[in-house]
Amino acid sequence: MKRRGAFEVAEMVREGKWSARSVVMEALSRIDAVEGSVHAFLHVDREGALRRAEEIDRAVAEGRDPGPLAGVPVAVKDNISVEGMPLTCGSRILEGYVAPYDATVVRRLREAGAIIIGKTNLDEFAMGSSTEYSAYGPTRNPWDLSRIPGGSSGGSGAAVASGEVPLALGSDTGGSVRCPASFTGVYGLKPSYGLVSRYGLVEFSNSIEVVGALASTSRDLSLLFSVIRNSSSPDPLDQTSVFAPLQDIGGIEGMEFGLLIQTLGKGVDPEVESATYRFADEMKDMGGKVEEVSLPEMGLALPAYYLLVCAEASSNLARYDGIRYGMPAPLDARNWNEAFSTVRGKGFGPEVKRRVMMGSFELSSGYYDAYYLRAVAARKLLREKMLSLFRKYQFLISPTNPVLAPALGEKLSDPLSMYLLDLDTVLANLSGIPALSIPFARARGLPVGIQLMAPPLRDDWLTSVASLLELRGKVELAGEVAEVA
Amino acid sequence: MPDPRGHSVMIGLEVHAQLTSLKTKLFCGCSADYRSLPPNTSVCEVCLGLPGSLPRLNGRAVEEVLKIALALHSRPAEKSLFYRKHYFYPDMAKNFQISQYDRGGGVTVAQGGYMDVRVEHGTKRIRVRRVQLEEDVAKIVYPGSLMSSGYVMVDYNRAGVALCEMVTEPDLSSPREARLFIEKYASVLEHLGVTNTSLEGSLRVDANVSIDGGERVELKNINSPKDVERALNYEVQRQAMVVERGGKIEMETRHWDELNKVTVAPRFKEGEEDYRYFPEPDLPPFRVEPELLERLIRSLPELPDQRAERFVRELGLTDYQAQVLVSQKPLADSFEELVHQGISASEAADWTMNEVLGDLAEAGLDVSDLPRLVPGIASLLKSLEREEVTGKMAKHALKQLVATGRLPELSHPIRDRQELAALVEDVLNQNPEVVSKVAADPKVVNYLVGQVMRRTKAKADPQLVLSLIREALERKGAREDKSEGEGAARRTFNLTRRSSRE
Amino acid sequence: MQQVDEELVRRVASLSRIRLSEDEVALLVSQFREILDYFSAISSWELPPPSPMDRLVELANVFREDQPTPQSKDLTGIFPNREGRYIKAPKIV
Repeated sequence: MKRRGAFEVAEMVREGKWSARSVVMEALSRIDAVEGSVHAFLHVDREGALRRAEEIDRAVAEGRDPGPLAGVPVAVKDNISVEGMPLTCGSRILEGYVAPYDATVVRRLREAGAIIIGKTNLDEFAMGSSTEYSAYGPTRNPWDLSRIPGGSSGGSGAAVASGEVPLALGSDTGGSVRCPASFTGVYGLKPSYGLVSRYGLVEFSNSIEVVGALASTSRDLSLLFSVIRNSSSPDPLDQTSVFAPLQDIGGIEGMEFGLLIQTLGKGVDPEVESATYRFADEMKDMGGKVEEVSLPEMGLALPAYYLLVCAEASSNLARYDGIRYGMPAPLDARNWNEAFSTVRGKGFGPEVKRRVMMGSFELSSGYYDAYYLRAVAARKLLREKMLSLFRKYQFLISPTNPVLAPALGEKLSDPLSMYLLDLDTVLANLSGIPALSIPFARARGLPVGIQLMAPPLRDDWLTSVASLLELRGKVELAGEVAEVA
Repeated sequence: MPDPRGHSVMIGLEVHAQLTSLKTKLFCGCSADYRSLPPNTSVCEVCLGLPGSLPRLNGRAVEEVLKIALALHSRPAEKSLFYRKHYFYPDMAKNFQISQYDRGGGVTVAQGGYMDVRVEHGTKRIRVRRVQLEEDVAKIVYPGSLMSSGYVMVDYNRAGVALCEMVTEPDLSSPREARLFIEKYASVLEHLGVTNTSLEGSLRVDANVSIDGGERVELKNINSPKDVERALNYEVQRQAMVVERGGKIEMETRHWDELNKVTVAPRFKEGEEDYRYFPEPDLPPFRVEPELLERLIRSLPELPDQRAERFVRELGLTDYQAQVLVSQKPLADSFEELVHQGISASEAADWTMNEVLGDLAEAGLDVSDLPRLVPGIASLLKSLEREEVTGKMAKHALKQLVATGRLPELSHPIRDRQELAALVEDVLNQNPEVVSKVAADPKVVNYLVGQVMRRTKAKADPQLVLSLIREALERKGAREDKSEGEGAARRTFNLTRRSSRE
Repeated sequence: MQQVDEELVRRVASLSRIRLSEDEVALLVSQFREILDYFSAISSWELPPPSPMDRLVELANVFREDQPTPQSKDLTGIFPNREGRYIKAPKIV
């Protein structure tokens, strides 16, 4: 089933050929049709969306520029602050909290005429790779409802894949945009660290996480990305942000691609592996040079990643104590320490508790050097190695996930096995480089995403390659909508 | 200087000064002028720590703290960064404070330095360990008392205000020295223009106290500089008593209970104070550019020591006078303004130190109220100089000026010889016993002067009154000369009896 | 290798202000062991000494002007427990 992309919608709305209202109505009707099965959304703002659609239509009628995303419905992961909408982060501890301000990326979407239609499901506080850790129930993979959509931005992936919306925002700390993109057959872009403002993104591991973009076609992806990124100046609200002007790569003749051998072989689904080699062949077909490359330090990546993110999570989640917002702290507790412990014991799910406690342990005196500091050192080493690889290669190739989408419940009994899904994706987060999951193939009825990585701030190179590949008709799932049986 | 009970004392201070010169908080654009606002009004997603918010460093705060570092001869770091200091408390919006750290590679804004303080027998150099920047916490209000209320109330208006933390080495040897240090530091901050120390809560002190080389006790919650000496005195004596009874001081944290004027151990052990410091990922490090440092050095205002030196050198004050005046900036400012208005330096110093300060205290006012009174004081001192009023009248008028803010009508002293002579006669006639004692005890003349002054409501010129009394006594034969002996006494008696018959 | 036992788990839970049920404590002991074991892979690598200044993006001196940007919204509506404009919080002691 093919769909109407964001690009087309915006064009039609701007030209007055379609009303934004009709676009929103269509999205809402698709949401009504599939949500029962998919559960991508935690909150749908019907009235707000229709009101905004009317404003857009009025602007068009009055000859005012409605913006490059005019009338396009967008879903936002529920760990990004949207004023007037709940912000649960998939957790009970934020039940009842309605955000009083917009994240920078949300503000930019609104200014571009996009219509924020709702908040999507996620693993609690973005900690997970399957969206099964959401306190509000899992999201199901639109291609096979018995399987996970990936995580932590599973809701965003499913919302795009099922045709509910053409565009979605997610967040990517260890693969949380790319993993669901791969499992649900859509594009998932993890931008360079700093290139998209983090203001309004609820912090989990703030030294490496980013806001990411999900879309069904490369043109849509580029459109979304162009609106949310810092193109001409950093965001003053995020003092860790940078900017870079758009930089198209043109063609890829003569470009060098490194195929990471550690991401293939043992433990990798043979279909995934063969899709990766086919992708490499396509690059060669387009004039690129592909070589196998070894990164032995990859074995360091996942342990370093988890040590780092747990430590930062323990700090970033310290603020949830029921005093200022969310689930209330019990006033009849014996003292404030007990009150805090009660709220957090009740409000946090098991994975969050695990990581927060692990993180507190790592940062505590006596263990800081052995654990946290070593994780930071490992990140430094990995970044150096990645950057040195990029002195030779312009791109690195790997599968996005080593396996096809697992069944719901399959990974839940063993936290470590869940962590292993991130094997191929954490590299990009630890080095701060951009990475794109391309919905390249299908295997046994399920999507297979291939990951492309580029040097820091060369995000546009990734979308260029995707666009070229798509133009040749080689991206199997581009523009496809899952039926949702 | 050892404690009088024979123990040697070591005190180190940790002083938190709000940078009240800043318009906004340290990490957000909320107004830092929070004292008169209703609760939770000057707040935003950043200082409330709402999910998704990020801190934004106030550039001017860095400059203000560098000025403090320069004034303390502290070495600014080339590159400095923020750390998260974790602890759970209802006044913490994020349950970590964005602060700085000087271990494990952490660098604070400045390290080292010193401040010279006038102590009893000369000057003492107190070493500074570090100077750093950090955010303030919210205010907790107890409905009822700390012990009885079933809940607390929190106001985040103050949360996020910029603080400069300055830590000293334990070079202070007595509570008194500590007070002098704090007073000097407050004056330095005032002269720099970074902190208005008269504002409530603008200067807070924690102390580390040990005696006889023993374990140190951390003392928290000294919220007003005035309490420093009292709190430290209590703690030193408490420790001395423990030791003298054969006990041992354990390392612990105690709180100063300003209501009951004691230090108390917290009700229950809070567990290890493990702050789990790690670098703040949301804020890049900051480099102090040489140009900035040069600019700050060049534009550093005159500090108390330099000012005192100038007072001595250019205005002829004594060292002591100069030190007292510069100990509080409004005091020094008012003094200089008086001089500027033409009052002699010695008069201005004398009156400011000896009369004005006392009158301010009596009227329940503060040194910060002084500057607005300066025009009135100047005018008063000028009248005095021109002998339009007497010293006593001036003192009286000054009291009124301080209390009401307005100078009363200054009437001229009564200098009419005839009028006064009549009063003098009257007083002498009514006080024969006193008159008779004059020979034996010349000082009783003052009583007679006082009587005349009372009758004139202190408006008479006391010098004139004294000379008129002496003349009258001369006339009546009563001399202040003891050597006349009995004859003088008899003559006095006769004198008195005769005058009473008239 | 760090000794993982109930005492450690309880201590860390207290440090994190998270109340755990007895079942949770027991489960976490084994999970912690497994996870820390996995993490210990990191100790076999030769790593460059990190600096606290290290960041993914090299930035310095990002400053904000000292100009008030007051926000007009009344945020007291989000407080879970309130008294007037104050936040009501559990007692300290």
